[in-house]
Amino acid sequence: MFEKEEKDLSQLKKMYDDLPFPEEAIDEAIFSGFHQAKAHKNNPQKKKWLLSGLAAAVFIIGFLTSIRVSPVFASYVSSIPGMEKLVELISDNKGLMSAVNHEYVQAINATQENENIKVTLDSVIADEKGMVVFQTIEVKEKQEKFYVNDLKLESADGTELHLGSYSYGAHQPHGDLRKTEMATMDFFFEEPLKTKEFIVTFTVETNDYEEDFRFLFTLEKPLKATKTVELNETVSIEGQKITVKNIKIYPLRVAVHVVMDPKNSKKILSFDDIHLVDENGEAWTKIANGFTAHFINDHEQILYLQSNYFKEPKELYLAMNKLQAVDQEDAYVKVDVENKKILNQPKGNLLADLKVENGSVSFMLDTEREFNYHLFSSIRDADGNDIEGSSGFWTGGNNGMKEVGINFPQGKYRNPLELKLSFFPSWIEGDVKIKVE
Amino acid sequence: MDFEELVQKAIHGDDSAFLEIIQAVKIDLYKTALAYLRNEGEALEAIQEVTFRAYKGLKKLREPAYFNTWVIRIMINYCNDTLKNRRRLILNEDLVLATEYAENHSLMEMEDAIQGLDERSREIITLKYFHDLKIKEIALSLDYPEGTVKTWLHKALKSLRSKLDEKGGISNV
Repeated sequence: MFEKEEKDLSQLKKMYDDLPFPEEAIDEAIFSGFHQAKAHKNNPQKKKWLLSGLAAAVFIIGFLTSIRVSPVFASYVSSIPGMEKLVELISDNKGLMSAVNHEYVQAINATQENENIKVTLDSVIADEKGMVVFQTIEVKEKQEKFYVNDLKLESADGTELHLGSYSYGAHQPHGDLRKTEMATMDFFFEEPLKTKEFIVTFTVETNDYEEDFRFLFTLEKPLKATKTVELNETVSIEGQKITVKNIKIYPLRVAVHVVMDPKNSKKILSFDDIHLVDENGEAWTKIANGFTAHFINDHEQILYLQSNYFKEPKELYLAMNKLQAVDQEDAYVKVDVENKKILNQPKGNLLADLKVENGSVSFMLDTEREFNYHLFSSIRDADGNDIEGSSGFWTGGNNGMKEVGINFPQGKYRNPLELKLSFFPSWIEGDVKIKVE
Repeated sequence: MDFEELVQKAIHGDDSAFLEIIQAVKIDLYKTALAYLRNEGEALEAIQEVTFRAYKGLKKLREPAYFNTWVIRIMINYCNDTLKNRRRLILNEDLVLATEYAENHSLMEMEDAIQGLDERSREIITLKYFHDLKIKEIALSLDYPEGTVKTWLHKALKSLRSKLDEKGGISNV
């Protein structure tokens, strides 16, 4: 049908193929592009998933599939414009759902429409130490990728915000082709908020477009006061002593401050099962989607649970059952990179098939059940110097086998290297309950 | 090591693997840029920018096998943006020279006609006839059904023909 056109097109291609090309200049261009990108990479201000401030916060991203709400709640929700969408985003967080239910959510309804992308800030839930902003992104042509980059929050009057951590979570940053995307922006502060007016700026990047946005918004509703319960109670799980210093209950989350006894024989890596439970057995578990913990140091951390702020239980307990832990001497996996040998790892030899390359160390991890965690948080050389710029990775496998490892900048490091464990499939279990109220 | 493994390594942050895979597609990238921008200096600038974007964006590549198409599409997007910003045509001496070599003078008309296509049509034509990609591969990389891509290709060829007819009409007068 288009034989002539097709023939001409292939001739045109041939003409281009026969053209001389300036190979040296092309190589130079590649190198300067590459070096720019490297320089950019080391600039922490520009990251896809913005995690800043807290040196070692744990962030979990989950994708929502379905929601179930009670009929009464559903009818309340549908009476507020835009609220159904919002509820879908927070359906895995009881605390936020309850804040909405208690009308502790505030509409913003500010829209900025650029050439191809339109963004609406729908609403916000805020407390003294944090803020969750809900937004909707709309595009004219279907896109599959929706990123929010260079997210920045400032106060309108210049008051310092003491921003601790912030993140952007899309419903599905990659996904089907679609015209709308809902997302939340979470901001948490180190000091209580002293201002009510904010300016938020960010760039939205989709497959075809990239546009800048800037919004000014005000918190009209008074912020609910934080409830603090001082506990200073020490419990023991399999002989490991853990002190719960205090619990702070905010509308957005509950912060549990725990301190591990440095003399413990095991290092506790993660509190897999810690929750609040009331007299009726209703439980508030860890936050499933967002910041779950903040590490103050190796022995001290703050764990974040879903909030029960709007409930007034007669009795409230903090319960702990299952914790990831390894022997103190196994807190680092030690690797002889010259002779390609694992010198030390936690009991059970779950790590095998060591692979060493310049700039990466990896293993096969054998677990009975799925274990979706980054194993390594950092890497240091034999002199104990941390190797900057490392990042952990894992690739999914089947039958409980997967590749886990860490990448780091190429270079000469004193052998052996030590990889710090952040998670490991080894647990201690107990049945601890502390009375909170 | 096969190419996909190399791409996989690059995704995991291996810089030398990244440079190797870019090397493997550099001529394709350059010629795409030259066809779009018709200027060597700008084509080189495009290579630099696309290397930058590819490095920054590599983690988002879902399927190592699609690396070539993926990076060529980054180039096409970049060229479209540049053309939009430029809004004027710069003819390249090399190209004029090359066209003189070409026996068939209609190639130049073809070039102009392609230049006049909408972005989608031009992208499809470039992928199909410049990079010899199959409809299936284009469909996978654009994430549209094959049927849709076929329709687009048909539409692109049709508007190419009508643009050539316009030109032909004028020169026949």
